[in-house]
Amino acid sequence: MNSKNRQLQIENYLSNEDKLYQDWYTGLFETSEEAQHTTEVGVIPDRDELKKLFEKWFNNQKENLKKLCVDYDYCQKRQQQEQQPFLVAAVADGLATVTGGIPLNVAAVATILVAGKFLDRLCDCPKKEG
Amino acid sequence: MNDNLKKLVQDELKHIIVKVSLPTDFDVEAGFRGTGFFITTDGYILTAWHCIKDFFQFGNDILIGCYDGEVFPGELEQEKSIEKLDIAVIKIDHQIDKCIPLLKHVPKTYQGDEVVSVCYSEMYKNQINCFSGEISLVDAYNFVATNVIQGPGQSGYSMHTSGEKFV
Repeated sequence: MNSKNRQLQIENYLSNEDKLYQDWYTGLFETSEEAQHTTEVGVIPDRDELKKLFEKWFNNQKENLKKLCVDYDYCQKRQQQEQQPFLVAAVADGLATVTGGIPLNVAAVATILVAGKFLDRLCDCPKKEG
Repeated sequence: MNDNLKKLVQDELKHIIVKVSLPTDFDVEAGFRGTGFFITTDGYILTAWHCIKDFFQFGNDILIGCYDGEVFPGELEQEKSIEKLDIAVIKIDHQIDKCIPLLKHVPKTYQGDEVVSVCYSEMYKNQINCFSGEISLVDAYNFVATNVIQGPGQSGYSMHTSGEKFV
């Protein structure tokens, strides 16, 4: 996916929370052998349930994600970047590295991490000025 | 298949069919992932592996909801399950009168056979329903394709022909 398409995808996610969480969830299973046969008939939990599942996933991945605070200097990027879609895109680039071989929809994960302020809390970023 | 016959099949099978749920906090409806059915009277249940994938991804508990509303914690029988064939076996601590036993020799199924399935379905607000369709393909390994699946939640169902064969 080129950077323009990713930017469009991120903007789409920021305006459609249902799709954001659904794509995050289905992205976790995309590499399994049976996924292509079961995607259409598998139940996707509702948004509230997906948010709880994300919390669980986030807690399991905290150690990996902390690298975004240090290696990618998330708090500083957040201070510098006025527009949220660009900040999400920067986090998505970093995610691909820190999460290794885990199947992920990095655009969806990055959007949730930024828009849901998960990274703000994890990295203990100072409150944004202004 | 007419609606009366569908209702008869549903009444016959409803106590054997279960709701498979993997909730984050004990809400069976929120955690609804698919259907399963008793294959023994002492609590062994067959369902689709992909219905329980959250067990591995998030560590969610498996809950089995019976038709009468009772809910039981389920334990995955990993050595009896086959991920590659999308088959999972769950054990619950519950005795029932009837089950759908697995047959060593499954009767031959043909393309065009009319089939019926009783299962829980997201289309019907996670309630039990009876669906009919037909076998659209039988391959050299006796794997069948069918149009009886019409939406999420049905995964893990048992399928029967109108001749009372268990497919």
